[in-house]
Amino acid sequence: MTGEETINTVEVAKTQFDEGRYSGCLTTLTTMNSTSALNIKQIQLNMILCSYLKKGSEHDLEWLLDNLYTIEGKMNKESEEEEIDEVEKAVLLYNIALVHFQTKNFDKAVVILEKLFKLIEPLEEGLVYKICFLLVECYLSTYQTEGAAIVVYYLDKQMATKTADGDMHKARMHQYKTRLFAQQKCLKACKREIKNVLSVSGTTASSLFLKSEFEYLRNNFKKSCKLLNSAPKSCPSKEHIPTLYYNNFGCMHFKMKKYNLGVLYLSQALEANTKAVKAAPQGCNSTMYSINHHYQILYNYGIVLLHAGQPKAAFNCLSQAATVYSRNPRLWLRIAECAIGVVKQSQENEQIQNCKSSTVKAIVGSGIYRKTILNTNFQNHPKKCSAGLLSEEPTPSLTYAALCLNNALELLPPSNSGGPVNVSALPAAPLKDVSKLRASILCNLAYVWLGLGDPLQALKPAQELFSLTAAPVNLRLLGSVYAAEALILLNRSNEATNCLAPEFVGAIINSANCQTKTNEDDASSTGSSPIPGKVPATQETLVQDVHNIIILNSVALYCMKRDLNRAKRILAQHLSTLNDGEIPAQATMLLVYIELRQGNTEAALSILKQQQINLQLPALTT
Amino acid sequence: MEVCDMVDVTDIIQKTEDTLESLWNQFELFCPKCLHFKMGQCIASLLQHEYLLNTDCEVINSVFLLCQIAQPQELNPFNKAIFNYANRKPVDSKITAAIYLINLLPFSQSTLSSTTTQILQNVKLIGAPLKNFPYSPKPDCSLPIILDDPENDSKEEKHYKEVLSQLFDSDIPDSVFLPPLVRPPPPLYSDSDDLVWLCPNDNEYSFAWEPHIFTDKDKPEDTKKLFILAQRQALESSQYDLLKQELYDKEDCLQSLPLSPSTLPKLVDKNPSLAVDILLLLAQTQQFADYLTVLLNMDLSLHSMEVVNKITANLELPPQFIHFYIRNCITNCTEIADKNTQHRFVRLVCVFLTALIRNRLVNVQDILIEIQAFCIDHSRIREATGLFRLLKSLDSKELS
Repeated sequence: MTGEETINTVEVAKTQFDEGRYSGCLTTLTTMNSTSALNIKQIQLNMILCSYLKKGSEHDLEWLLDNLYTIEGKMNKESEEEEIDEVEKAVLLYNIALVHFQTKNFDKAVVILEKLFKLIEPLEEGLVYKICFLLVECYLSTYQTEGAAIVVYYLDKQMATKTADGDMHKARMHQYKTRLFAQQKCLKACKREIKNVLSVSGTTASSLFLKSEFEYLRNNFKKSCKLLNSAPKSCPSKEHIPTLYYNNFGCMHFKMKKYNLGVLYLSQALEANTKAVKAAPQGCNSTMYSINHHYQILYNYGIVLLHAGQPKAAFNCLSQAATVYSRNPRLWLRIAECAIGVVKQSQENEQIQNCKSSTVKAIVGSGIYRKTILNTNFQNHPKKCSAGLLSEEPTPSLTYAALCLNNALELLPPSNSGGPVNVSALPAAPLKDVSKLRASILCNLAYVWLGLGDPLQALKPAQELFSLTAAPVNLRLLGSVYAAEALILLNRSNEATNCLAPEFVGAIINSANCQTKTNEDDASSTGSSPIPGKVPATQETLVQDVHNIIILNSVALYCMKRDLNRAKRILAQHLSTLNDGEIPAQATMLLVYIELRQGNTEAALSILKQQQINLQLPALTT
Repeated sequence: MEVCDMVDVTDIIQKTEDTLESLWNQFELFCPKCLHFKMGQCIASLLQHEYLLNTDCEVINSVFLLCQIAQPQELNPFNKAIFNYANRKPVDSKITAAIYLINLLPFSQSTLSSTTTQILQNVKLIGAPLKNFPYSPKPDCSLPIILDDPENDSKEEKHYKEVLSQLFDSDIPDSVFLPPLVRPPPPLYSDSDDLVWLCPNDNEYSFAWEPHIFTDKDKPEDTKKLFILAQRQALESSQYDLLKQELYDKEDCLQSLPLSPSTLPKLVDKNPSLAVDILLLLAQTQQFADYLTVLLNMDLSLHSMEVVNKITANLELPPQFIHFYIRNCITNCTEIADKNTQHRFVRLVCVFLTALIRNRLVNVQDILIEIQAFCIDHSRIREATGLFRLLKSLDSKELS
């Protein structure tokens, strides 16, 4: 084959490749004899691509990646100077990055693409666009908004100078910008770009979903629903629209605090996803990868299940999700919350089975030998667990919860590093402010250690928590409650008194009065429309609830220290602020205790009877 | 706990005329060792809820059994119960009896062989303190959970023993009433960013075709490298061939090389053939004049003359060029200081001129005078005289 014939053959092959006729291309390439004038490895690269892409190919992405790496290895051996290499290998490296992208290994793809982006100047124009677009996509998929912004800026400059393919690229750019602004929460700019997207691309599924997301971010749920409903049911890229539709509906209902509906939608989303993946064309499995959102949906599903009061199911979902998203501190907190929820539920079930009243366990006997037996469910017996035995499988136990919470803490930046942070929390958006998360982790950690019967371990997180000025007030107060209990168990009851002292507690509550505004915003919404249906528990009620418990616990503490007078006084004062029907069981038991301590059994009994006038009490039967 | 066990133990406790030893044997008969601790907890509960024991005998027997269940006394888990009972106020006969027995620890054989009644008879002093009992109290805020709640007007009456058995189910002996502390569970973490919204992505990301299939096309740097090399040293024939091939095969090769008039002299010097090739290629370009100028003004050398010769042979050059060059050569020769070098160059120039003339590449008429003068100047050199004769012969031909 002469030089000229070779050139022609290559042109033919390229045309075939561009037109998607991969089998033909492969045949054409095979006819080229190897001469010294030809780069064998580069031809092989094209042949491998064709083998993978052709119809009826039996090769998967793994095979493709292996072969691409083999070629890279060969090229590395032959080259002498490193610098020239990268540019020469640019096409190969881009293809490798693309495979990583398709298998959702975004980090690996980004490493390669960033290198290429640095050397982008001498590369051919088509390749430049390919590299940049893929890099933006990878950045957006991992919420790396800074990187994405840099590349978008570069692309804008490039496109300003050239006019070829302008329109196609413009549509993409608008879409990228929309997603970028949404992630950066620059909602005005986002709105502008969405207009552009719609005018350039029309009402495709992609544009309508983007607009729907924009409305979702502003809590305009009605608009968001409407947009999703009006979107076409199919999409050129073979994405399975119903899956995404159900998922997003689930998200919306979660934000609206309609958790049971959210659970329903997300379970439908999971099902739809599984079906779609099964139905995807076998063989060329990049479609399978690209439409498969299993782990993202599973993550959503778990969180909504947790809020819907199904901690066991939630635990299973989120544990699976953690195998993929192991570096998300928020996720580890959630798994701990699930485990705690499971333990709490089983304890509550036990209690409900055992006795109907929270104060009296049973009345035994009759006549002069009749005895009333008090309930001891306030004793909070530590759950007996096989400490130190951690099985391979994650189990919803308090021990495992402690492990998860420590994982979460590890993944946060150290607490003394001030200033804005950006903690990755894939699959969801990264964390900008970790103080709330840290507070929750510490709170759960103290609670778990108390539950495991280890007050010494519980004390440290509890103390850290009530000292954390950036934390929400109700959590700081919980910190002081847990710290007090730990100190009591460690026989340091004077320090415990300090934790529950009114001055200390008052200081915490007052220090955050300026915080309450922002906390309320947090709890409700940042958007215009109110959340229909439920009244959200505001910060104030949360704080009040904990405060009440603090007062009652301080009464208990005084009882323990034999300071009955003070205990009586505080208790009476507190009860006078409550309405009659609202006396909590703890207060009743405190009254009973004080009477018994003073030897007034009859008075104690009358208090109990007063409280249980309408209840049928079970007699113990043998 | 089986009902009969507790009832059996109650029976044992209520015996008065059995020796302590035999009481213990009976206890062991009815209660397997694995249940001793449980049973002990029940008995301790009896002590704690004092009104469950009615007589001094019952107290003595209960305390005795508790001591026997776990010896040595220092390690007895029921010490607290025993101690608390013994320290009750007001002190009555039951408590005194208990203290008396406790002070008999460790029990001698004579004690063990005594009956409860006999022991009771020896109890003397009320108010006698506990001696050397291996337990000291910690401040305790616990209270019993069983409250005496008699129904004075009830007709129904359950047997005392049945009440006891109902009382001692699984966890009552274990439990005490402490001031209740509540441990509220933490609320669920809330965050607006929690969930992942999914949008369909219809952007296409396709594989890239590798265009660099030709080694030459792919390695302009190689030709560049070679070219740069050619200015420094004589290329090997394979290198020269490669470069020449490149130059002739591809139009843009020449443009891609870092070639400029200023690089020409070096090229001429080291690789005259290449210089010729390049100049021939440049002949049609606008820059050719620049290159020519440079060539003309080069210092005299074999290579430069070669190049000029070849160029002149292959191209239609304006006559001024050649004339200028010849004049240049002549001037250079004259200026050479060293005699030997001068002679050499003179010879070269003569050969050059002879070749030019013989090949009719130059119109001698215009510069005849200069060349003749040159020859005369260097008439001692053979080539010069040969050239002179040649000129003469031409001249005469012209004239004739």
